[in-house]
Amino acid sequence: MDFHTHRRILGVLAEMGEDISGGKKHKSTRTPGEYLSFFAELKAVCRKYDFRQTHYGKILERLTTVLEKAARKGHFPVKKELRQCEEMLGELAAGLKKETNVKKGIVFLPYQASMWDCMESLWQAADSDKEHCNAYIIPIPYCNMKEDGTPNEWFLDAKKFPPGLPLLPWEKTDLSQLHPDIIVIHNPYEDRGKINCVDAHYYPSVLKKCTDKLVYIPYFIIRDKDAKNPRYGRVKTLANASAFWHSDVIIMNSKAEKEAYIKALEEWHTRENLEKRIFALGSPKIDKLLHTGRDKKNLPEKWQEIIGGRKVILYNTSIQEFLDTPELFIEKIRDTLEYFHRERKAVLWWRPHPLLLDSVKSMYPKLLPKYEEMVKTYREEAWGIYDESGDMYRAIAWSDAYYGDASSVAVLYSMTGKPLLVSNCKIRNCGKEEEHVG
Amino acid sequence: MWDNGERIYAGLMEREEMRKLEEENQPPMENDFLWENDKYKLPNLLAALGGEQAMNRASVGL
Repeated sequence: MDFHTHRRILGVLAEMGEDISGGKKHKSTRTPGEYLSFFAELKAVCRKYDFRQTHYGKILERLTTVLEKAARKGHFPVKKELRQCEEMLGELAAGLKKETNVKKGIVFLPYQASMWDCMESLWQAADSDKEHCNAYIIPIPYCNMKEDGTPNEWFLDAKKFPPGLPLLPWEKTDLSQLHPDIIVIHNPYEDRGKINCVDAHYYPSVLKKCTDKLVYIPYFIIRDKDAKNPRYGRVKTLANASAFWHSDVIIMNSKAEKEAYIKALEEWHTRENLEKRIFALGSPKIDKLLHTGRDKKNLPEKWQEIIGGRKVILYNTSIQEFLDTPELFIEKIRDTLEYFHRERKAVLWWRPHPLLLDSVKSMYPKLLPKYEEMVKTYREEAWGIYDESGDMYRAIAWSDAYYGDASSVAVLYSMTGKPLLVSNCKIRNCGKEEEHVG
Repeated sequence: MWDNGERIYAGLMEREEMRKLEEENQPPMENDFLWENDKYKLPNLLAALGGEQAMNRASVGL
């Protein structure tokens, strides 16, 4: 049985309980006659889904008899019959609640299409189990932020998701009504996002009321080496987010990462509480990493021509480095592009973080003209690849080495076994030694 | 089918104990990060790709 139908049945039984127990002043949701029709449908449903027919059948027969009498009198049962009705309804609802032949409903709420990878393999598992689960994907609206922390522009990435995914429109889906068994999110914040913010209907504290199980999968994976380092401060920053308060289940990539989060969160929660909610089951991002190969069909011809059999360096520029040292960061990009423009042994595959441009716009708008000019020139000259797609895995698969920030992409790259060099904004590869900054 | 997705799904559907599923999870090994410095820069990375220089911590004096 579909979870909607199951919930609807339990809902009607609850309403009926209120109607018969509510007394004379209570305004009934339905008449006794309407409940009789409902019972007839319920019998058919129990037959169809092979529920405990004999057990439910007997209860429904007795309820029908009492209600038929009530319908003739034009009011709900009273006294002894009322108590009998209440008992039977309670027994019926308790039994139906425990039925296992009910499909669960799982709703995935990604906001940025480029971040779908942190949920994708979980969705695939759910979608392939159609006998037991209905899986829905609802891309949700989000905005980028102005420098003063107010919303700037709103976006919906529905059209950027891989073709063929069964997406539901957010504006036509009331999650409090749908009340799926499970909701999966990757946005941890409410109104504290510095760069992006989702619509307030999708804040973790709101979603918690719309489901039995709110599941948070962090987008950012932490290396075990960093997780075990007591001086690594990032976990504490990441852990201070709403999703860690409101989620029933939080998925970590490794036990070391889980332990680091638990230690950070112990400031606000008990270890016992955290160990009941945080589980190191592995990240869907690792699934994607290990299953993406070099498929020429997914590589534009123009890019194939640029590569031309040479080694490819993935150049990844992230947000954190930019926020730490914005001017140096922009200058470092200029230096790197200049180096690869001269160095033709390898091809540069530049992949800025999908939110980098937004970050420059919102956090340091005075640097925007310089950044945009660099990007424009690089794209026009086309001696390297400029990858603004959401597909980080294609870039990882096609490259032979990594150069760039110590970001989440670097963490994933470190798991491929390919060489990796973390860039240092203070070091220059072009020009003279005295150009070194700091 | 992809391992971590399947494992998370099994846990969420309460088909297996979460603790048991955690034991099955084996994340891939991580390479060490090499950090760019005055001695080790982009030319070294390219040389490592061409097999001219080993790309490991010892080669850069770390």
